Amino acid sequence: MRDELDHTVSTPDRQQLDAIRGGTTAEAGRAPDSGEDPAFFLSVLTRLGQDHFGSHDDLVLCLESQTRRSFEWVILVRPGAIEEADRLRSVLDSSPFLGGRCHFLYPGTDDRSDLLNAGLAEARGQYLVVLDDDDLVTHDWVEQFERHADGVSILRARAVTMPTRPRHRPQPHMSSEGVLASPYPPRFSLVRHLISNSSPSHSLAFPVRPLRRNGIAWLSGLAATEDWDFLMHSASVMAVVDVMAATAIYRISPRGHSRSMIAEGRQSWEAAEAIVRARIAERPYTMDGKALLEALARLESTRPGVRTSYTTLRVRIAHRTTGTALYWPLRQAHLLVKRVFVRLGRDPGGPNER
Amino acid sequence: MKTLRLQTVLYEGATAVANRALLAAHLLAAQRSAAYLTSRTQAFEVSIGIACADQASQDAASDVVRSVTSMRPEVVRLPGNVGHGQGHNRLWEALGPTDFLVIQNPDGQLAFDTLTQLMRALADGANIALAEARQLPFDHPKAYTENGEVVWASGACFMVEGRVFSEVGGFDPLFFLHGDDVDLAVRIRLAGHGIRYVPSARFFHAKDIDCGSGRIAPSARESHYGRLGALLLARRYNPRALSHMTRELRHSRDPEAIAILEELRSLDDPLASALGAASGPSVLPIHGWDFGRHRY
Repeated sequence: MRDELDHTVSTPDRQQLDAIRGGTTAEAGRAPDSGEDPAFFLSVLTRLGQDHFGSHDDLVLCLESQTRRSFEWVILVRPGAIEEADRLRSVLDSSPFLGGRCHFLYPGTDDRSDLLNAGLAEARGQYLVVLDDDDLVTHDWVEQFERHADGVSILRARAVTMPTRPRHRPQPHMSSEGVLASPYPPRFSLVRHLISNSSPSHSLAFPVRPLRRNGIAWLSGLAATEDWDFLMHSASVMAVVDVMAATAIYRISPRGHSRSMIAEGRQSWEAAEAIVRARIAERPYTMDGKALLEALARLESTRPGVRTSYTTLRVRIAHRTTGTALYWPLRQAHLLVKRVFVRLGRDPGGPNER
Repeated sequence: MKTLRLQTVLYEGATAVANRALLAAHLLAAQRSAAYLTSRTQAFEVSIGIACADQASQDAASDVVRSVTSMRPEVVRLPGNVGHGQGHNRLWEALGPTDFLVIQNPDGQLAFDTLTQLMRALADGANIALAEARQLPFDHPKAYTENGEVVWASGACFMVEGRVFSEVGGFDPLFFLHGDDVDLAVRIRLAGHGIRYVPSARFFHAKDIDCGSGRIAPSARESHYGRLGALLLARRYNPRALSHMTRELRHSRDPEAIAILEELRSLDDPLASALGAASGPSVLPIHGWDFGRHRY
């Protein structure tokens, strides 16, 4: 009888499924020069911790249900999660969708950034994305990134927040406790990101080659906000392309707090934020005229005491589009925006995004 | 040996490559979940039935079945788009009863242990006849107790005992697209059986988020049948709620709302009359347009 049943439910053919889905299989060789594997468009980096509420199995199902399978999953195991990694490996080994495209790394550190840097060193995809082990994504998360990829720009999808809390009964699980919201600006704004991070990690895909070429890495030792630092470092040398599809779901507490703030405590979080803010202040950014105008318009509307000078500057930029006549207003605007926004430490015009 | 069948109804647009891919993934996932079940519990003979409402769906189902799975699902052609519940009823009749039945949307996918988790809930000895899976990435906001008791279960994915499904006469064909799952659950409860929500049983349900609002936006068709289904349920089980709902639609002056009310009038419901005083908020509580209490 068991033989008969085993025949009935025999192992599915993954390659055939991949062919239908337009994805690729994981067996292709690694290109020696670039570190990229043509089989993988995307490397998904996940820091694996302990899991008491089934979040890891939620995540597995989200990845299994992707409409594009052109990704590898790099699972970065924290020292305290070895047993959980073993359990997850057994689940993935039987997966007709993910088996063969997942690999586990054991960097031997609990440092948030060092874990990701270990993943970056091993990533074989053209792009990489950080997917935390309690994040959720829609079925077209990979597909939407792939559609907008140009190999050199950061891709930013839209994200929504889902208030969630863990529940022990009837079985341990994460339960949504509020409506979806979309508090993040629909389009990437460098100006807003000078003040605070308004892009959850899994809404951003970074091109790997430019990262390596420019030596960009996550800053070791940060207890939180390492994603903001990484984004701003990357955005100082790369363009950001907006993917106008909401595919990233960020679980927050029912009170609206981010996970890292809860995990690390407000004090640690603010200390990390201060370090990142200082690094942003030191780093040069190239803003196009549109971004500068946006910045000046916001300052103009919120700081009436110095309104005249901002307005004059804005008008001069708006009316002079070529030649050296534009240089000084632009330079003045750059300096002004950097000085005011970075030191403000908060968004003068928008809602608190954290 | 116990028998278990997974049923899916396909209609319209199954020719698209994306839909074929979804169906292929859905079948592979079902196959894997069945394999896990048979490896963990008593022996089950697991089968898959697919009902197709049109030729395109049938062609797609046949192609996918041939190319992807070794499970050889049985494909049944329906006389047309007879609706979701009626499609499942026809499939049930055509393929014959089984000990357990899993109803599953075609745009979703089971986790490796979903069938096992659902089966455990049915086997816990508390007279549970229907067990509902938790949807991902967006779970339903309806309230549930610490034991998982719920007023109704979503038809996206649930497992029901075959004898109970037959006992209550399956889905009511009065409901075309929405509300048939709520109605089935209420009739199962009225027949003396329990219903449970099983959060550890996962079902990925592909849904798009509206970029403007950040919410899940129903299509016009879903909105139409959703409201019609709600009115049919209120007329049958909670007439007091019905009066509030119809008043709201009349006052909206929306032509679509008026059309829904006319459609409601054209649909006779002998069961609503038969229930009479037996119906009320205790049978199906309705708050606004929501069935039962919601968590938020």
